[in-house]
Amino acid sequence: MRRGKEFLRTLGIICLSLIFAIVVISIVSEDPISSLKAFFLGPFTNLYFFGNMLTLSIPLMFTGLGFSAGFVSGYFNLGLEGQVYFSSLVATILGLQLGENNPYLFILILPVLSFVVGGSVSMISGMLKIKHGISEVISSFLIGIILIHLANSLIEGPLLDENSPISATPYLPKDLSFPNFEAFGNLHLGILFAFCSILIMDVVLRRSVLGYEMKLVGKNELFSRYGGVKVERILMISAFLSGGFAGMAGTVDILGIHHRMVRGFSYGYGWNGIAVALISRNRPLFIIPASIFFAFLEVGSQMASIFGDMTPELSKMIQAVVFYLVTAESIFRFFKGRRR
Amino acid sequence: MKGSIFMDHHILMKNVWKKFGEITALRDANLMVKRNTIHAIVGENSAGKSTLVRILAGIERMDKGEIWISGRKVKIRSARDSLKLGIGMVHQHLALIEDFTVAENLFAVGMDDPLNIVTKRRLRQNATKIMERFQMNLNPDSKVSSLSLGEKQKVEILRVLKDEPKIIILDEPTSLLNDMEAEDILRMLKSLKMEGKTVIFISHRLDEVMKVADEITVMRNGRTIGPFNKSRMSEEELFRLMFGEERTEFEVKYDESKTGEKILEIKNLRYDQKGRVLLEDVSFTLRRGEILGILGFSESGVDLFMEILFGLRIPSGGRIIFKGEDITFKDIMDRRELGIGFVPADRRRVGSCLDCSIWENVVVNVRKSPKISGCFFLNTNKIMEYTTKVLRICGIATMDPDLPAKSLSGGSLQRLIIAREILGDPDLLIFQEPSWGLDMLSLQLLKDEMLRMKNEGKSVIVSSKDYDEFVDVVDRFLIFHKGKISSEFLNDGRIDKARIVEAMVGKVEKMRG
Repeated sequence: MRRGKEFLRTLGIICLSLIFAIVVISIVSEDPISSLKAFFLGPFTNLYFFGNMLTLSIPLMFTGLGFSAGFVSGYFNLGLEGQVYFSSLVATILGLQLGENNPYLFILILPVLSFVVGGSVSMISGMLKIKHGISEVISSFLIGIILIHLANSLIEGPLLDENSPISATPYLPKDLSFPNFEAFGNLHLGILFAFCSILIMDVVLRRSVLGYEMKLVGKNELFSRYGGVKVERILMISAFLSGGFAGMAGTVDILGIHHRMVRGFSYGYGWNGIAVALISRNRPLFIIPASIFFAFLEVGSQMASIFGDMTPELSKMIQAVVFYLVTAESIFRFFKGRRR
Repeated sequence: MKGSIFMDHHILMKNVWKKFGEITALRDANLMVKRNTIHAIVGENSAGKSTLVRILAGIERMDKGEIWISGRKVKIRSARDSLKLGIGMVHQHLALIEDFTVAENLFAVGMDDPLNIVTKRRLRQNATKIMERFQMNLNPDSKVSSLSLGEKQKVEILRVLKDEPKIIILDEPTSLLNDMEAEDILRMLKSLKMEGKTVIFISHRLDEVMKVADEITVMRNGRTIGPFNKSRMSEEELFRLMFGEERTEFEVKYDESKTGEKILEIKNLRYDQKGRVLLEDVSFTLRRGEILGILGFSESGVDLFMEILFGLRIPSGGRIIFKGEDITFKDIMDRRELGIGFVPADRRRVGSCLDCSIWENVVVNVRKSPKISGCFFLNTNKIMEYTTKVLRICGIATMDPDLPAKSLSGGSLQRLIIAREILGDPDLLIFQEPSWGLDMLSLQLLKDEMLRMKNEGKSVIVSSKDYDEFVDVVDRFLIFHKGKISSEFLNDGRIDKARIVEAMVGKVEKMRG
């Protein structure tokens, strides 16, 4: 019954944000009907748009999964953005240097590598939390920002492709990219990676001793310790998984769409991932619809700007509303839980 | 005439029904409390005692029934309504803000005068004033987190008393306290009565009920029996009303020849905190087939010792040898795997995870055993089977294992924790204040289990603040005072209680508080 209630509340948040979209479009647009139609139905009018919507949801699935992998154990990873960006840069560098000879092998190696890089970055904050009691909320956020600037300076400096009109690295070797499902726009193999990761996490969280221990640590650290759970180790594992999935988000996006590192390509993946995770209430399977919803807002706004007279920034406004609502609700729940 | 019954009683609850989902907590319950009396409510775990008074305090709402206060029919919809009627309730579970000082907890929360500037000095003065009035000496500036459970309970009671309620409800006010502190509280109840207040209190301890109560209502399965006038009741009769059966007596004497090899050896254990020595020179050995009782008041170091023994704290010096292995610095998982179990005193934060489901609480100590899982994956069927078994043992077989543990009553939760640790089949089981919240029948069952373990060649350590609580099963008592073992008594069936108490308070010095 409680689950039903939670589900209704989530549905309420989604409806409120869509109502907000309707209100904004109706006020701003000269021709609200066609703008609304483009916004709501656009992404479903043909396979191409639909495919692009799914493509957009892929990195969100990873970052959403990353956030909840930490969150179940009470590890609040605010460094997703930096982890996404930095790991994909490391993967790109490696791909540029070594990918020429063995492109098909590197299609598998690079996601794994970025998982390890993102995970390791996140583990720094985990370590600071365990050894020195420094809140990971602050440290992961700050480390993330440092990494973003570091990556940007590399892209603008030694890695910059002089021939490119935008700030980006040279292209990866031609075969070093995900195969793409032609009929569905940009949709690429990465979506299978995302589904698999989500399925694995779902099984781990619901069915494994490790998942049980992770949830226990998140809910009551004292009790976990008393029960013989090695709390520090679980926190580190959570931190690693959290950063790891975030790390994959960027690399999968690069291998699937950009084929090179473009400055700022991942803007907002990390933050939207938090909202996705909060909407899905840390149940991995729900991350799929939640990320598709976020991608829908994005594509819908693009449609409304192409076929109507809206600007694509509409999506940011609606996403912000969703973000406020879910975080407000989570914070409310957090304090309510505390008062007991 | 009918009217008179309403006028005579300060509080009258008539034909009260309350259901929680499928479970009927109260069936046609009645409570009749005369003005200016001490009224005790006694009964087994989950008999509905707490629910009944929680309705009166406006925390729960009844499904059916009437409440009359001072001859007027009233509706209590919220805690605020109840407060307006002059009813104050001290809860069973502590709800203090740990990071605040005693004075802040007493007054800073819910200040009635928002324009007045809250100064530390004023808070302290007010706190001192009220503590003097009720003869409780606590330091108003100490942080609540540094207080013992007993002292926290005192703060909780004071917090209600400061609102000057006419009717005071106390839900198990003494369950956390040692004998002396409990005496304090009982004395206070009497003085409240002298001041003209009406007191309702729930208790498991029949002896203290017989000591202070004027009238007694017995609850069983959500029904009420009574009120009875205390002078016309004996403890035995009450017990029979509560459980419908006679108490069984145990004859146990220490027999060294029956104990086996050494299982646990403590050598010079020591614990310092911020330069203060809290535990020192603790050494003893425990053999298989022995039940060891550890006695001591709040700050004697007993609780600290128990936590060190199980690995929740790391000692500053000394050694713990279990089955020949040095486990001083081993973590809790290793201790559990070696065969140590623990029932902690803080059952709501350490012993259980209230936000987790019941099954998650039940399997915590067997999660890696073949009973529950392959090496990595949990086996859902086995989990449900195992959880159902535990719930049946606890007498709450109808509970849904997926519900959160906070839906269990205090007593049921404690039984669940005890059952879980016993089923983990340890060679050494450590109980810290296990009687907390247990009714007499459950306590008796617990003692049976201890004896069973003893007969199987396993060992038990049980700490308690009541020296006679486990006297019928314990082979040997160690008594802690000021962080040291002050004396040791073999239970040869002729223990002199006076000597134990003397050892507990330290022969020369007087008890603090």
